[in-house]
Amino acid sequence: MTEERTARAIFELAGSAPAQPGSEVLGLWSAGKASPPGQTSFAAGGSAEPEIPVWRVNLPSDAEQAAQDLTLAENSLARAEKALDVAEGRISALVEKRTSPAVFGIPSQPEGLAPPEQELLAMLNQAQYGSLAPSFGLTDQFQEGWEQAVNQFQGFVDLVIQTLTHYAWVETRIAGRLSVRTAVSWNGDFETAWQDLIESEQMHLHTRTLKIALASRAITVRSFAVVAAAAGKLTALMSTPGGAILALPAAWKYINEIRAELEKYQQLTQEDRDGQ
Amino acid sequence: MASDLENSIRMAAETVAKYVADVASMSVETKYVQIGANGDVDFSQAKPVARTLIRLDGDSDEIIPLRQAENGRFEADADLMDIHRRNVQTTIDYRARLLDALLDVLRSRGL
Amino acid sequence: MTDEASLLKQTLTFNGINGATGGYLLDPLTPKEIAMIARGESFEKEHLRELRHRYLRAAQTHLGVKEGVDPKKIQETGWGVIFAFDDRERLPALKEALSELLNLRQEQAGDLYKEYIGVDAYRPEETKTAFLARHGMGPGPADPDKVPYYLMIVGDPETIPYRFQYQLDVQYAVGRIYFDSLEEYAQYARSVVEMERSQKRLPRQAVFFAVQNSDDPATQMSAKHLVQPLALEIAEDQKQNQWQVNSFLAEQATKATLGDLLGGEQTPALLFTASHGMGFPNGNELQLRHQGALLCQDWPGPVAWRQSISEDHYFSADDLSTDARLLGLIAFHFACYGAGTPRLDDFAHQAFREPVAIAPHAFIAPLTQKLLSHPKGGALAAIGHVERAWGYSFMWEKAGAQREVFRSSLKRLMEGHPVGSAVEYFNERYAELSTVLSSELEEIEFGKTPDELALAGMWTSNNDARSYVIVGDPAVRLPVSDEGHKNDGQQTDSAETERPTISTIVIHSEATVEAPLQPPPAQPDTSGEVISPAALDYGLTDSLRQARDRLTQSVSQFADKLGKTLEKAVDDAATLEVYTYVSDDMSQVSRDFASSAQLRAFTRIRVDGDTEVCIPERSREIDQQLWAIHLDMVQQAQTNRAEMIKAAASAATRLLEALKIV
Repeated sequence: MTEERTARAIFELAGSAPAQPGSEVLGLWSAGKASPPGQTSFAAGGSAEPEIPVWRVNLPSDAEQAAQDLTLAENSLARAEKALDVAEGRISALVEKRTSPAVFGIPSQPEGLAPPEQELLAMLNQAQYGSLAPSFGLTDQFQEGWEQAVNQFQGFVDLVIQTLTHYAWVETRIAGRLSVRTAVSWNGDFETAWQDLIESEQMHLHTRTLKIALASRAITVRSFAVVAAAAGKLTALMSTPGGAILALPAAWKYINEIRAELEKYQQLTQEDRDGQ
Repeated sequence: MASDLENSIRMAAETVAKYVADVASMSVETKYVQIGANGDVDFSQAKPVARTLIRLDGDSDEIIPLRQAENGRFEADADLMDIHRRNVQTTIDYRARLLDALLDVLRSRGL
Repeated sequence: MTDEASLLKQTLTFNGINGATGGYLLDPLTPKEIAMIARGESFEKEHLRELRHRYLRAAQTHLGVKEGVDPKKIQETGWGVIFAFDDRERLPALKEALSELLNLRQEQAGDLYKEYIGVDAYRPEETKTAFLARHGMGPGPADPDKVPYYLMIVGDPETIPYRFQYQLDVQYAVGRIYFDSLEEYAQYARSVVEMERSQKRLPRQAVFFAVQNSDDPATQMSAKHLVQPLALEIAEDQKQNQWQVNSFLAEQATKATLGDLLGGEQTPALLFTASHGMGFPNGNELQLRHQGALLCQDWPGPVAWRQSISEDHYFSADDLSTDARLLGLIAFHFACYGAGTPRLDDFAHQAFREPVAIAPHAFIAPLTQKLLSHPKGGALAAIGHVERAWGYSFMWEKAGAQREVFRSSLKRLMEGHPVGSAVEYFNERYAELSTVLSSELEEIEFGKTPDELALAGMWTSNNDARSYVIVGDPAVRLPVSDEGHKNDGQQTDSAETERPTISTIVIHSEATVEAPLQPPPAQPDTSGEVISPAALDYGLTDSLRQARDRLTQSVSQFADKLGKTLEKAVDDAATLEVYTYVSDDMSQVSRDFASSAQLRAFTRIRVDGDTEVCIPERSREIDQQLWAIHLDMVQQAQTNRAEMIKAAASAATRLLEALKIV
C-alpha cells in the first residue's frame, strides 16, 4: 500500500476569521466559518456561544484509514516545518550571493535562480522601482499584485495573533460524531473531555490529532519568526526606506512557495514510486 | 513600536531570571481519588500516593504511604508507585524543557 | 545645485502618445531614474559576446558581411527567404504570391539564393544561434556561402519573434514582410520587381518631415536635435549627387502634408519622418489598426489637448488613399511603434522583471504594412521602431555620434546601397553601445561610482539603436535616377515624371492566407475615460505607500500583542494545569467543561517543578485507561507550553531585529 495517497480526513480550522474562508493554513487546514451560535454541538440548551477557533479533524470511521490520513497530515506538517528551515537557508544564501563584493543591488537577470527566488526578487524590485511603474502603465498590475500580497500577509498575521492570544478547541470527530475535545488555553493549559469508556483506538487518534493541531499552531508562530528574520535579511538588497516592512509580505509569499515546492516534489516522488 | 516590544522582552526576561533563581528544589506529589458508584468524584477527598522532593544538589526524599498486608509486611501499591515515579520523571523532563524555553527569552537579550 | 545635479533632475519626455487618453505612453523620467533602470539592464551572454566581437571588429572592417563581399552585389552577398515551419500548410500559396520576387532574387543571387522552408524553416521558439547552427553557421560575419547576407523573413512576429529578427540583424541584413492576404504579398512582390526589372526611376528627392507639437519636449527635441541638423547635413552632403532635399518642419508638418508625401503629389523617393507614434492600451479597439500611426502637427499638444487623440491629428493606415502613388518609396519613421509592436513590454521587463503585455499579440505597424502592399504599387521598404523610440539619445553629450548613425545610413541609402546594408550603421552602433554599456554596468557592479547622466544617455541610445527594423525586402534600394549609380550594371539617366503604378493583383487560388491573428478577447479598456494630467501622476508610489502604511499598522499592533503575550506567557509559566474529564454525551459538553462533564484527573505543575497529580481510582483499581489518557495530555501540554514560549520569544526577538532596521 502506498504511503502517501489522497487523504480522506478533513482538517478544518473554523473560527473568528484568522484566515479567509476558503483559504488553507499550512496547506493542511481549510479555513472556514465557525459553527453559528446554537448549532454548535457543545452548546448546552442551544444557547448562543461566541466564536471560538476550532481545529477540527473529521476522521473516517475506518480506523486504519483514519490512521493513514493522520500520517499524511503529519508528513505534510513536517514538510511545512522543513520549508521554514529551507526558506531560511535559501534566503541567507541569496542575500549573501547578492551582497558579495562582485554584485551590487538586485540583479538585472537572476540567472540560475529557482522560480521562488525569481519571484521574490521581482517583488523586491517592484518595491524598489515602484515609483517608475506608472511611467510604464503598470499601475494596475502592481496595485493588484501588492494588494494581494499584503492581504495574504495580513491574514497570516491575524492567525498568529489569534494563536498566541486566544484559546482554541481541538476536536476529533469520527464520521462526523464528536469524540473528544481539548480546550487549549493561550498559555497551554489543557482541559480534555472524552466520551466515557472511549475505545483506546479512538483515544490514540485524538492524541495524534491534538499533536497535529498543536504543531500547526507552533509552526504558525515560528513562521512569523522566520518571516521577520527573512525580511530583515532582505533589506540588505533594498535601498527603499521602510524596506523591511515591505519585505514582510514578499518573504511570507516566498516561504509559501517553498512549501508548495516541497509538496510538489513529494508528490512527484510518490508518483515515481507508484509507477515502479 | 520597537521600543515597546523591547520593553516587553526585557520584562519577560526579568521574570525568567527570577524563575531560574528559584529552582532550589521541586516536589512531586501523586494523589488518588475514588470515583463513586454514580461516577462522581470529590477531589477534596484525594489521598496521597507518594511525595518526592528533589533538591538542586540532586538529593531527593521520597515519602511513600504503605499499608500492612495480611502477612504483616508493609507494602506499597505497585501500580500507584509506578505512576508516581513516572510523574517524577515527567516533571523533571518538563522543568528542564520549560527552563530551556524560558532561557531562550534571556538569550534573546544577549544574556 | 551643480549643472550636473540639475541635469540629473530634469524631466525628460519620451516619444509616444496614448491615443485613448491623450497622455504620454511613458511618463517623464529623470536621467537619474533612467540610470536606475539601466542598472537593471541585462544581456544574453551569447548575444553580448557577438555584439562585442562585432564592435571590436568594426574598426578594421566593412560592415556585416565577410571580407571581400560587396554588399551592393546580390550575386556576392546572396539572398535568402525564411519561412516559419508552422506556416508549412500555406507555404505553397505564399510562395506563389511572392513568386515574382523570389524568381528575381534567384536570378540575381544564383547559387547563393536560399529558401528556408520545410526542415530548414524557422522552428518555433528557435534562437538565432540555433537557427544559424543548423545551417552550418556560427556567430561572426555573414558568410554567404553558408547563409546569405540578405535575409527576408516572411511571417508574423508571433510566429517568428522580433527577438530573432533583432539578433539575426546584428550580422545579417534582415527585413520582414507579413500581410493579411495573398494579394498583398503579391502586390508587394510586384512592386519590388516592377521597380527593379522595369528600370523605372524616381527623381532624386528626399524629404524630412519633423513635427514639433506645442508644449511637447519630445518632438521639440527630435526636431531640433535630430531632424533639422540631419536634413542640413544630408542636403549639404548629397548636393554633389544631385539630391533635392526638402524639409517640412513644425507648422508645415501637418497631416495633410504627410498625406501628400505618402502617396500624393509630393511623394519623394526617400521620406524621413520624426513624430510621436500612436500607442493604445492593450486590447483597445484602435490598437491593431492605428498603433504606430504618426501624430502630426495638428495635435495641439499635451497642455491644450487633454483627452483622447482625434484621428484628425494622426496619419494612420486608414488615411492612405486608394489612389496613393507610393511605388518605389523608402520611408524612415522615427516614432514609437513605427514599424511594429511586440506583445510584451521589453523595458518594463527590464525594470520590474515582470513581463507586461502591451498588445494581444505582436504585430507589424498597419501603416507600414499598407504602404508596402498598396494595390497601386507600394513602398519598397520602411524602417522604423518596434517598441519605443528613445529620443533622449539625441540629447546625450555624445548625440553627435547618435545622429551620425542616421546620417551615415541615409547617405548609404542615397548612394545606392540596399536598405539592409545601409542600416548596418545602426547595428554597429547597437554593438558599440551594448559593449560599452555592459562594461560600464560590470564596473558599477564592482564598485565604480556610476555616472548617471552618461548611463542614461548610453542606455537610451542603446535601446534606440537596437529596435530599428526593416519592414520589406532588405535587398531593395532606392530606385532613383543616378548618372553615377550602377544598378546591376545597367545605367539609366531619366527619372519618371509621373510616379509609376502597378495593376491591382487578384489571386484566383483556393489556398488562402490564414485570417489575421485573432487576439484573445480584449481586456477591458479601463483607460478610455478622460484622465487628467494630475491623475496620470497617481500610481504605485501612492499604492506602495498605502501598502507600507497598512503593514506598519498591522505589524505595530502585532508587536504590541506579541510583547504582552510573551510577558504574560512567562508570568503564567509559573503553573501548568491539565484536566481530564469524561462525559456520556459529548454533545452536551459546553465551553465550561467543569459544569458539563465529570472531572476525572488533574495535574498541576509549577515552574519550580512542584507538581500535584490526582489520578482516578475505580473500585480500588486505578482506571488505567483514563490514567493513560491523562498522562498523554500532560505530556502534550508540557511540550506545547515549552514550544509556544520558545516560538513567542523567537518571534519577538526577530521582529525586534527587523523593526530596528526600519
